[in-house]
Parts: sequence; C-alpha cells; structure tokens
Amino acid sequence: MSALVIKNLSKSYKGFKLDNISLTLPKGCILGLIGENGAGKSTTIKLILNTIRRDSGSIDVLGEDNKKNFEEKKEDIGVVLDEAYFPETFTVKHVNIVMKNTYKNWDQELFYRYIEKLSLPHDKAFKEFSRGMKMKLAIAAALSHKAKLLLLDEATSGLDPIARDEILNIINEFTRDENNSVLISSHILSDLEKICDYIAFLHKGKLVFCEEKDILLEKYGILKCSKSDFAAVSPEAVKGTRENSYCIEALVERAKVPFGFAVDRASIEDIIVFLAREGAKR
Amino acid sequence: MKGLLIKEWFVIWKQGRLMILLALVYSIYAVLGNGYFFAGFSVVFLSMLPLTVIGLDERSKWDHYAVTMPYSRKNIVLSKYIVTVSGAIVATLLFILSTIIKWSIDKFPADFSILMKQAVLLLALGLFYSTINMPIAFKFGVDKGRLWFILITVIIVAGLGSAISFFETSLMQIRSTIENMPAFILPVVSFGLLAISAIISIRVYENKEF
Repeated sequence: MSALVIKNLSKSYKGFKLDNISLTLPKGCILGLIGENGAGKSTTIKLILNTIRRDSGSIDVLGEDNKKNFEEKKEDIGVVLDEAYFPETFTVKHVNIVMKNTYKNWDQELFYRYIEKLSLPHDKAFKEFSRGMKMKLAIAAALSHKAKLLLLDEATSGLDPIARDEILNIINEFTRDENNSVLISSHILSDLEKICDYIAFLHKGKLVFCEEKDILLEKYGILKCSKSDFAAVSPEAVKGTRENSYCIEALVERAKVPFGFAVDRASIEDIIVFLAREGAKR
Repeated sequence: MKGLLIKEWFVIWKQGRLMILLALVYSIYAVLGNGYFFAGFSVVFLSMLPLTVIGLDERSKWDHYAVTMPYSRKNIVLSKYIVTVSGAIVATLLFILSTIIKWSIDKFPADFSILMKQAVLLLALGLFYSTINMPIAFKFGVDKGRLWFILITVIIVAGLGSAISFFETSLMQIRSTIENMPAFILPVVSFGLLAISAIISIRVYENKEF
C-alpha cells in the first residue's frame, strides 16, 4: 500500500493553477517536493491536509480518501508547516500538555527525548525561540504521536546548516521503520538530494516529473564540449543547455549520447535547474 | 476537544490575565460603589475573552496548525463558544457575589428574585456581545472584522435609539419590561441566539481555506 496517492489533482486561484498533478509516495520512502517559490508545493500539502478544497482529482492518504473520516486519519499524520505556529507564551511543557490531550498516541517520553536530543530549553517561552528552535519543537511534536506519515512544508528553509543537518537526520531515522513515510517540500535541493528516495518537481503549477532519485541520477548527466562537437549530439538527448563563448554545458540523457562523449554526474540541482530553464524558454 | 480547551485556558491565563484582573477590579468596585454599572463592565471584559483568543490565534497562526490536528472544524469553533459561555457565567457569578457582599456590608435587605433577574440580564448582555461578534471574527478575522464590529454596534445602537423614540419609551422601561418577563425567557432567548451564532460560525469556518 502507498502512503499517499494523488491523481489528477487541480486547484485554481486567481493567477495560479495547480494543474492535474499525479504522484505516489510508496510506504517507507521519502518523497521530496521540489519547485521554485510559488510552484505549488504548499498548495499541494494543504490539499493533502484538506485545509483547502480541491477543484478536481483525488487524494488517498494512508489508504483512504482525505475527505472521509479525515479527523481520525490525522492521528497518523505528523505536520510541520513552513513556520511553527504555537502560541507565543507556550513553553515545552505547555506543548506537551496540549498535545497529550490532542493525540491518542502521544508519547510524552519520546517527546522529551526529542527535546533533550535537540537541546531545546524547557522554560523559555516560544516567542523567545530562534527560528531553528521553533522548527525543532514543531518536528519534535510531529514525531511524538507515532505518526505514519510526516508532511513537512519548507521545514528546513531559513535554518543554519547544522540545524538543517540535525533535522534531516531525524527525518532519516523516522523512515527506518518501513511503515513510516515522509513528504517534504523544499527549495533547498541539496537537502532533498541527501535524504529523498523520490523526487517530484513542480514548476509553475505543473508536475514536470515524479521519479526515483537514483533513476534520475542514472538517467541524466552533464555534457561539456565545444560547440562544434555538440552538433553531433542528437537534440533528442539534450534536455537543457547553458552556453558561454568557449563551450556548451548541457543536461543530457546519458543513453542517447553518442559513444565517445564524456558525460559527468548531474546533481539533482543540475537536473532541476536545467529543466526549469528549458521549461521557461518554451 | 479537551486539548483545545486546555490550550485556550493557557492562552487566557498567560495573555488574557489583564482582562480577568480588570473584571475582578470592576467587581470589587461594584461592591464599593454603584454595583450594576461596573458589574456590567466586568461582564463585557470577560465576554471579550474569546475574541481576544481568536486574535492571538491569528497572530501566532495557531488556527493554521489546529486544522491539521485530529479536530473537526466544528470542535475548533465550539471550543471558543465554550470559553464565551464560561466567561459570561464567571462574570455573572462575580456580579452575584459582589452584590451579596455589598448588601451585607450595607446591611441591605436581600432580594434574591431581583438579583437573579439582574444577573440573567447581565448574562444575556455578555452572551449577546459574542453572539454578534463571533461569526464576524471567524469570517474576517479579529483585525479585519473590527470595522464590521463597529458597524454592527452602530446599527444596533441606532436601531435601539430609533425604536425607543418611535415607541416613546425609555431604557428604564425596557429594563423593567425585561425584568418583569418570566425568568426563563431571557436565558432561553440568549442561549438560542448563541446557538444560531455558533451554527453560522461553524458553517463559516468549515468553508474557510487555510
């Protein structure tokens, strides 16, 4: 069973349309939702959480449509939004008490273990927390009610590299249990490349691809050569180009490049940037 | 809903303490001075608590977070109405207590039937404030809703003023008419209107996008 199945999902706003998105998150995996600001990442997560209404399409969360019995299903979903939204005067103790009376499976010991692990102060008011501390508290709360699906919307943006690394490690640990799955949206591509099994790329409200990360890295490469050599490469192999006066740098499909050309490894960032630029040209 | 109510209590205790303190001060002042007027202030302050909480929720964006938790939107709205009713009841009890204390200080003969009628009037006043304002707060938010609050208050006051002059009656007459009604009518009407207000607020909140 998949943790998340989205089919033909659409949602229109004035000046923006999330257009016919379909993607699947298999159980036990981490899916990274990538895209520029305004690409539709947060809209997709809000639609999954049913906090906004879809125009069309279907969303199955942990095996059930998110319009049926979703209050109960939310027991199994851990959510970290782009900011942590606790009342400003709350301390760790207040969060624990409220959550203990909110989630049936709230694990107080686990919560305090996360608090210790993430070095969060017990008595400080939430409004005095740094952004990193706020996000860590939100993640501790999301992970302490035995959720099976974790939804993170830009949870690592604006954090320093050490805080980001700590959070990514926790997310990785979470999916060691093969019943647990994660959907994480971010525009920090290096973070997603580190932890994701699948990458979905949203661009201007459209899904460009949703693919296994290893397949993407295997499929695409970076070709650097002179303009004259480049003429020998089939246009079908070329997914995007960047030119300077000396050479051409291109994102290519490795399998379609003629023998003899040296094709370097493309990072997820390379793939996304080239494809997005190519999409913009069209 | 228990978690939501605990959260409301923490927020009120930490951030609405000043209003609770003012309600107490006015109740004490009512004992020392002219009871009814200042007790009315105390009711208004406590009736404003749920709107204060909604405003604080908006500021911290708690409402965006709460809708991702295993709560129905109906329960999120009802938790605020429970705060309203609790606030109005506490304020009314404060009024009853302060009046009884004042009577015993002044060695005034106790008249509990009049006291109960006045208490019910105050309770109705407290509930009426939220009955009108809560659906607006859920629809537009406390900040954006402020203009609507003012507009509706002006309409009610102007309407009441016109009705008084049209029927050539006075506030004292209205008060005595209300006080002479059977005791159960005012609470039934107040809670009935509050229930309608809650139904509208739930409808508004269920259609809201976060």
